Amino acid sequence: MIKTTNTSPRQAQASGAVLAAESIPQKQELDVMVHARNVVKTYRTGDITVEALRGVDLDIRSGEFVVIMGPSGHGKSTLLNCLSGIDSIDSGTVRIDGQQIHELKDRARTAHRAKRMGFVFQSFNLIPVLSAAENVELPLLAAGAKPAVARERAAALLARVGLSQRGQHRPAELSGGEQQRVAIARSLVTDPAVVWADEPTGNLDSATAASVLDLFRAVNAGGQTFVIVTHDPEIGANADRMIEVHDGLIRQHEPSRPQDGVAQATSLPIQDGMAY
Amino acid sequence: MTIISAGILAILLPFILFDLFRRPSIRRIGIRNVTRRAREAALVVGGSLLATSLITASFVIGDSFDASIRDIAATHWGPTDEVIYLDDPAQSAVLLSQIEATGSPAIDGALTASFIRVAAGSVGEGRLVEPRVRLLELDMADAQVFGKDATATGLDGIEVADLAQDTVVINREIANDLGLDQGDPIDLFANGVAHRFTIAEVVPVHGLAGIGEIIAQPGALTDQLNDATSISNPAVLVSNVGDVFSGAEQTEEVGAVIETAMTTAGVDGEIDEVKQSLLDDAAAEGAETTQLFGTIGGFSVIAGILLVTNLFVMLASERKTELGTMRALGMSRGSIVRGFALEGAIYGSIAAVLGALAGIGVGTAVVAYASSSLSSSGGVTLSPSIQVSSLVSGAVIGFAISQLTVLFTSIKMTNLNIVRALKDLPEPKSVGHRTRNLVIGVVGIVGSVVLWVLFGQTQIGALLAPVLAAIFAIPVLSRVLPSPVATSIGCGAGLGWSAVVFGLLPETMKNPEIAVFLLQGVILVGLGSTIVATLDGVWLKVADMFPIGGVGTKLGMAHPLSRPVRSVMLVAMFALVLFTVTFMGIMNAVFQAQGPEMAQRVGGDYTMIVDSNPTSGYDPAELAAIAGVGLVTPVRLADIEMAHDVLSGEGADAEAEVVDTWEGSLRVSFVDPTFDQVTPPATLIRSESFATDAQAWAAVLNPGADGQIWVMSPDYSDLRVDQTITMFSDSGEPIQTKVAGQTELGWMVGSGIYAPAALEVQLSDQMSDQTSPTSRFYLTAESGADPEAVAAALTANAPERGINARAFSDAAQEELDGQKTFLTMLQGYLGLGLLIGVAGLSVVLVRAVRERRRQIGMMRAIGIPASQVRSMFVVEAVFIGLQGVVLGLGLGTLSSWQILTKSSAFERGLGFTVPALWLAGLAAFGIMVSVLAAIGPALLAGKESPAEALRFSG
Repeated sequence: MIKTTNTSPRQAQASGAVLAAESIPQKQELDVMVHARNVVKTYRTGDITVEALRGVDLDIRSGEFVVIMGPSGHGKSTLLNCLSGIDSIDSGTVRIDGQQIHELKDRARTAHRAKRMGFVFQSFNLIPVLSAAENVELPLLAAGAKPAVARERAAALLARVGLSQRGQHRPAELSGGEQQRVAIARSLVTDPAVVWADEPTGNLDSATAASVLDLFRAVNAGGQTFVIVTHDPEIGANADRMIEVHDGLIRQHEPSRPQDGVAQATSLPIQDGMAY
Repeated sequence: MTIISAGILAILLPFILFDLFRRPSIRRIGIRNVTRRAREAALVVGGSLLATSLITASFVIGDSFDASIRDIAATHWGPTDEVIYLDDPAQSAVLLSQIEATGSPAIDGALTASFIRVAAGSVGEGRLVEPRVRLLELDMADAQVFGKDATATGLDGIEVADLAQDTVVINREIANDLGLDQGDPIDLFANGVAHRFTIAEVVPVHGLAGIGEIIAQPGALTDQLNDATSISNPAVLVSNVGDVFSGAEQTEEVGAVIETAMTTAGVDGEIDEVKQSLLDDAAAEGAETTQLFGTIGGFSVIAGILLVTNLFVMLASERKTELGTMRALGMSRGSIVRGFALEGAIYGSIAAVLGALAGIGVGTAVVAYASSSLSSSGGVTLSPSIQVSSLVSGAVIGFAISQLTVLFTSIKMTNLNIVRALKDLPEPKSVGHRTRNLVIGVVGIVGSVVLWVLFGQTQIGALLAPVLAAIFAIPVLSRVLPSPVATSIGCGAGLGWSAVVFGLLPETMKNPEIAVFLLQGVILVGLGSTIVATLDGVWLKVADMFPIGGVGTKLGMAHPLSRPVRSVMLVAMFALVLFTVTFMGIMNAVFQAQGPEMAQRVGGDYTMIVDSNPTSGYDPAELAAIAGVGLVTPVRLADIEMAHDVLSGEGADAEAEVVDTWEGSLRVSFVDPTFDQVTPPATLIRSESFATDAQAWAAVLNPGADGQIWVMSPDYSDLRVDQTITMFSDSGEPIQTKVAGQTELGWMVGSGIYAPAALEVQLSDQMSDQTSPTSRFYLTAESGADPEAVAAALTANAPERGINARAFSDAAQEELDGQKTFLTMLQGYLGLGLLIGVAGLSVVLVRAVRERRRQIGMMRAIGIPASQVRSMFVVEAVFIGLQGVVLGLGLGTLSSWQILTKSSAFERGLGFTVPALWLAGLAAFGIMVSVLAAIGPALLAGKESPAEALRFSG
């Protein structure tokens, strides 16, 4: 068993940060990965209009491990989708890495996601007709990487999540936990600045969910920003910050975990030669 | 087919109706699944209606042929149901009186008439001449009331009192040909002499004015002739009670009355039941055409079945969780199947109605094309005709096919594991049932052997039994070999057999029915598609070797490869149609390449054939003196009464037995002894008494040398070599002749049996028969002269003499043009089948967009651009289309090569021609339409919003 303890400086800096826009000092702005102001999103279903987000302000610092919680149907996933740019907004601004993503054309926004973001979904969303390795390669190939490079990098990532022996298996031949680890490997393969995860443990049993959480924390310890939508209080308890979304508004966002929690989280259960 | 389909519906409909009215749960599921997504439902209906439309179209085409030929009854016979041709003009009035005296209630009129073959021409500068025109001399006043329906006679508007003896009535067709109109003079040439008349009236081609292009009062021409009996054919026309069509129903009764009348009056003659024969021909032609198009369209219908199967597999797959829930809640599998059946019945019934209506359009388009081609070549005038019964038949067959397809697909798809279905987990690879599969394989192989033993001598049995054995061998081989290898071996063996069976069993597979080609095509394509699907690893390696197009290409290939069953159906759907089009195209090219050889086979080294009007023909010496003409050999034609045994089996079957005796008249070409001064037509098969064709012809032309009168029979008769034919002189004297050999393609010029001129002398009392043109010549062109130009010059030289000169090459080309028109029409019809392939591919891809919506959302979310998503669908379509093109064109070429060069499917080897450019065009077209099929779905996929797609839950 190998233990890793490399906590990034930014990790420590980010923990416990509750940042109101007007209170962010100039120096700190440089570390803000996600900067959202007055984000409004409305859906129409037939005659019914649903105000999913009603003017959300939010900043997430680089390297932060943020958890978004709240009751079902109150806008958690919508917030994640709007922040990540996979859904449009009605008004407001969202900056990722200083880039106003909703002002970008679809092609540029897509390219931005490919280079700077990773995604993990509740139902894994692996492509069933591709092997695990091919699924992991996908974002790199989309970004224009050479196949050999993509293959090498995917193998490394699969090894990192403990699935080096399962690379040629298709999703149907993997367990739920394994599939989610493949999805995590896929989300990390481009070395993104931020990883968005929507209910990543929703389809997993508690033990597997715990191992996925540990994996997230370990990666986060490497400096990658995580924004996770979840109902799992265990994840909330391990976050740098927990944001509650209620009726399309952020009701509270406060530190959910003491500084030393980072160190605790870096103590990973090691599987299949996984090492950080 | 209609009856079988109606039977299937009679079994299924009560269940469907019961569920619809008495089972609310099934009704709710069935109906609400239809209305759940209107666009999806429209796609399923669209896919289903294509097959129905093609089936209906085949009926419409058959109806149109039937109706168009029946139309001739009105235009060319009118009230005339029977014609009695008489030997003696004086007997016309006698027979007429006798028929009228019978007072038969089945007869509503009789009319005496004379048929005279003349040449007709305009008068003056730029004279136009028609060398062969039928003049009908009859009493115009009697004719107008003939059959008690003036309109039907076509002569109802004529003022009989104004008709002078030097006037004629002509029909619109001959008027147009000669550029004449009412009041113009017209010359009628008989015995080489022109007789001038004035046109009193131009009437439509209808009724009696269809029987004769020119109509005159009795004796108008014949009274001016020195020897009218040699060219005038007296007759009595009889009209049965009823209208133009229903009158034919009395034919049998009227025929008996006429025979009695002829016997009583002591009149010799021949009864021709013209109307009944025509209507019988029309019905037979219509049925044959329906069957031909129905069978050829069978390829497209099978493609349609594959499409509907694919659609329902996708539907069931999409609803897998729902199906699991229903099963978990206690709904039986049978109930779910019935829910699907009800849903399918709704789709099917809408598709049946729409498909039948679309079939009218398709059938009408084919008929319009055929009509323009046939009318330009002087054939039947086709016009679209639609019978309600045909629409119903098309709809019923289409509905039955879709309903059965849905039923079987549903039964298969509802066989699911509830837990896996609830969690939407994929089915694991089947590892069970190995013993069961082995048993099925062994039983299947034994069954195939039994099939071979019982039906191996039939074409279907010989083709199918080994193929089935090879397929059933797959589960047996899978015990010792990896499954893909076993599948490839089994399918490869089956494919190999079906590809070479025509060459391996030439006797059994001789003269195959078109259904055998259909079966062979289905087997070849089905097994070929399966083999291609087992090569998924190979395709992926190829894709890895040539990484073009990035993620889109990789995913575009990965999807079809990961779903082999669906892909096989899609590829087969595409390949089936291309297989048939390829087959037809190669046949067309091969036939077209036959032109020069065909001319040689019909005429030997003779290059032209000249027919002259018997009333004003040429003298051979006169013909030979014309520029460009080389050798001239006269031939006299006659229809001779004869009898011969009908033998069992085919060809030179030594064990053939006498199964019947045939009696009747056949066309005979009496040829001079000089006929072999150049090489006569080659034999297809000849008696072993002769070592060469030259010896056989020498025996025919010089009868009696070996105590035999030898003749050459045509290949279309039932006659065999060395068979005896008894020919009868007019006095009834039997003369034994023997078949020295068979010539082929004689039907192109109506040569019939070749017999020596010496035999003509013995049968000479028949030579005045009115149906026998007396002057025919086989010619060669002078060295350096173009036969086609010489023939044209001959015809133009003295058209008033009724000369019709043709180069054999022209006759061959005319025949080939006819074949080309028909094959092109079939290809066009099959091209509509390609629409099924394209629409099917498009429909399946549209459904694939829905099926993969979350996947697309994920791809877009992780940064894969919309262009790559679009290209994924285009690559998928091209990959499938490419496989279909390779299989369809490859197997179509292989199959036609086998049949043309290795089999006895055709009496004479036709050679093999690959229309490379045409095939390349077809391949490019196949790829192009697959790209077109993908454009819509690709755009749809590219527009997906990642967030919405990710939220999608089916």
